[in-house]
Amino acid sequence: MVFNSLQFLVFFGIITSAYFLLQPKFRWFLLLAASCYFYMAFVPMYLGILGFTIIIDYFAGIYLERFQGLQKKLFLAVSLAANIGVLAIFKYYHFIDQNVVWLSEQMGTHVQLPVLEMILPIGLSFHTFQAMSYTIEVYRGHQKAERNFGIYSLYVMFYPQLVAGPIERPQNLLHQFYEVHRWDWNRVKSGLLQMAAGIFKKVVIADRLALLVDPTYAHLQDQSSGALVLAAVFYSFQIYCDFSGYSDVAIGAARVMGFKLMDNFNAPYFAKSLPEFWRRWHISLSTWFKDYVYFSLGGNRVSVPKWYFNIMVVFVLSGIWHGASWNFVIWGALHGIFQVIGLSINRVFPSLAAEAQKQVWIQWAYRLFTFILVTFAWVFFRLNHFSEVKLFFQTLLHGKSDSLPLDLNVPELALSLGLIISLCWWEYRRKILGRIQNWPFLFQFSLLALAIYFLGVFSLKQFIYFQF
Amino acid sequence: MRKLIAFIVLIFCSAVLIISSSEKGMHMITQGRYARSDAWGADKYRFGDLYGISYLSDFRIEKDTHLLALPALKDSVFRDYDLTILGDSYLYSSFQVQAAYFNRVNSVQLYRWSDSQQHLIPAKSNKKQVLLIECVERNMWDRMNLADARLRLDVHQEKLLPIAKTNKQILIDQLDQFDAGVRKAIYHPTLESNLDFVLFNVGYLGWIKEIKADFTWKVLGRTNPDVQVSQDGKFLYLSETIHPNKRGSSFRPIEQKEIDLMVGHLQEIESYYLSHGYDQVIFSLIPNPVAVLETEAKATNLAIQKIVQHPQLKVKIVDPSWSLKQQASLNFYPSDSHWNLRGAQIWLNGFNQELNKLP
Repeated sequence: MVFNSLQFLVFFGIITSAYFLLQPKFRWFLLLAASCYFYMAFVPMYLGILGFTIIIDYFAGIYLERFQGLQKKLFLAVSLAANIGVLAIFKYYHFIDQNVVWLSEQMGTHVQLPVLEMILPIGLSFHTFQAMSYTIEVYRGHQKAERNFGIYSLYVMFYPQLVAGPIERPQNLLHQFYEVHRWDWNRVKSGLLQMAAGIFKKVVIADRLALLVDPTYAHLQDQSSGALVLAAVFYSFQIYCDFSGYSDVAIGAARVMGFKLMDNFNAPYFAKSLPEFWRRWHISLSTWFKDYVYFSLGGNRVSVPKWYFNIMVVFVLSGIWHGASWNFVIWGALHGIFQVIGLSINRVFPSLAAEAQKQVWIQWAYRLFTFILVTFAWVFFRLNHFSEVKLFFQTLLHGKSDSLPLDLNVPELALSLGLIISLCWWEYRRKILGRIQNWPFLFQFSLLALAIYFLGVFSLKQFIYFQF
Repeated sequence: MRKLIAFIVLIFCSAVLIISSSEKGMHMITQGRYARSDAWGADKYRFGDLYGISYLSDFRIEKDTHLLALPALKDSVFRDYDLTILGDSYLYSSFQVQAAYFNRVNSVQLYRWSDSQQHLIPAKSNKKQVLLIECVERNMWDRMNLADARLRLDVHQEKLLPIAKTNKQILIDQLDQFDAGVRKAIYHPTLESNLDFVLFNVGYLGWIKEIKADFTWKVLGRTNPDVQVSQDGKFLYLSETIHPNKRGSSFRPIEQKEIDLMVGHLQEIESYYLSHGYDQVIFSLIPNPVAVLETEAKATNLAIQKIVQHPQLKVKIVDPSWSLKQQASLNFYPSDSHWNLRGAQIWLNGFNQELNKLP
């Protein structure tokens, strides 16, 4: 079930109203049943995979608390192996197989893994990472093991963030299932507004930009250089609006019922450096890698080469997390390399960087440069094959001379640019625009609903991050 | 008060979901809404099926929903054939299932292409049996094949042709069936469109849909992706009949071998049905409206003409293209993917001529 569907609208109405009508002690059961129903809209059978990791992690949590020393480590290893194993089988098996075949052929032989026919369960990387954060936190003693199997299942399966995050931590979410959330009209209103804003980002901006981006990337050889630059910039905003739109709906839907999920985005394209970009983009994943991988490797409290190595490991893993394909690995590696280069320059010219940050125009130059680097890296994220990447850059350098894309509709392009500029302005002047929050709720909500209806591109297009 | 609001929302949303998930509920609500022409009636087909998709106000043209008038049955006419029809909406939205329309026909049975479970078993009578296989151009490439013909006649085919499966394949099939069964039980296959119909397909919302559609078309140059406006702005077409990459398009470049293959298929199908109880088989290929109206500034692929004029063709085909092209714009609804009653009458005349030629 996707958020931008009528099914979700009706589902949300039923679950939310039933949630507030039910006695608090039964609410977790309603949410768990609703989450199962929500997930079964994709492939019902995959509920079994979720169930498998839930059972393993539930018991692992209890035993992690009960034992110490080697046995404790063993239970953590079992839990992580189960989660990573599921990921490896369902997400990476085909990728591993392809590479084994390629490697063996380079060595003059042919080795192939047994054929497994399966498709990737929706949102697998999200809920396995959320499950792993539970066992790691219990292992570290930051979180008590959850004894109620239903509540633990709900922690992994809570429907607003089940398929595309935010990837929650047990300390933030688990205790909320025990709290009694009363109807708070202000909270409900702000949740509904955030949901509407998320749908606006997805249906009005992201899916509109896709109208230009998709055909351009599908026919790279026919494009001009200008068209490719435009498509690359548009894709940066498409993926941002698509993913942050999903997060907004998830956070808003949870808030209506009284749950507080972590923020996932914070105006990332206003970042003045790549490290800052990663503090603003997909925050729940960035902090996951920081807490559980980067710090575990020693973070920056090691020698400089080891520090750079740690950064590269984190970003390559982040790339692999996104998808079982070399283009994602390269995308992650590029971000790692950019950061390492940036850090090296800062180490050589520490005062220069600090002075430069004081001047406004230089701050904007830094923002622009960061955006260009991020957009450049998105090209590798968007294109799955090396041949396509090669064609992209060949066309960019030697493309047709006409500066406009094929099948360009000028009013549509103008509207798209207008929406991007409005979005940037909104995010940059957010504090000033906070005054809008004082407008009557019905006026704000109706305005958003009308804008969604009249400007929306209703194609039931999946959210990009569902594939991960 | 808050509980009351929650209760009302719960009842309303549950009712909408239950109705939209139930065949019976949808049948009731569609029948009820289609029967009304006021603000509570459905406007999905009232002004043409393509208006019901695009909602462009210029094409809000009331459609004549009557069927073709039934001629008086003359007893003196010699009726020596039972007619079985396998056809699509071009026929069943224009004709009643009555023998009186057709020359030499004693009785008629009509099967829809979508009724794949029903079998085209010839009637048991002392009359000769004629089978009409009618199909619109946009679907003919997929539908005209022997495998489909076999499925529609050989009731016991699956039992006759057991397929050896490995244990692994059996397990996978069982899991797939279980999965599909569960999903079907909790999610109606057309739930999203059913919800759209239940919530929004009422006449009084038409003006809002038209504002959006007109803005999107006149300012942004887009329509619903399934529909395209003709270059002269007078007709709506299904996009799949125009887009050169779509299989059923009248503008898709077609190679001679495809035509040869289609001719071969028609002959195989005819032989198959002739060997299974039919005395005569007649095909009718209905051209896409865009191929008849010729409003676009590019040449069509002339697919049907190439099939009909193929030197190896031995089967009987009713091709109404030439007749429909005479005063073509009078033969089609501007906002519908089908012909109007005039167009249907032209086809009927052609088919009756073919019936008259039968031995």
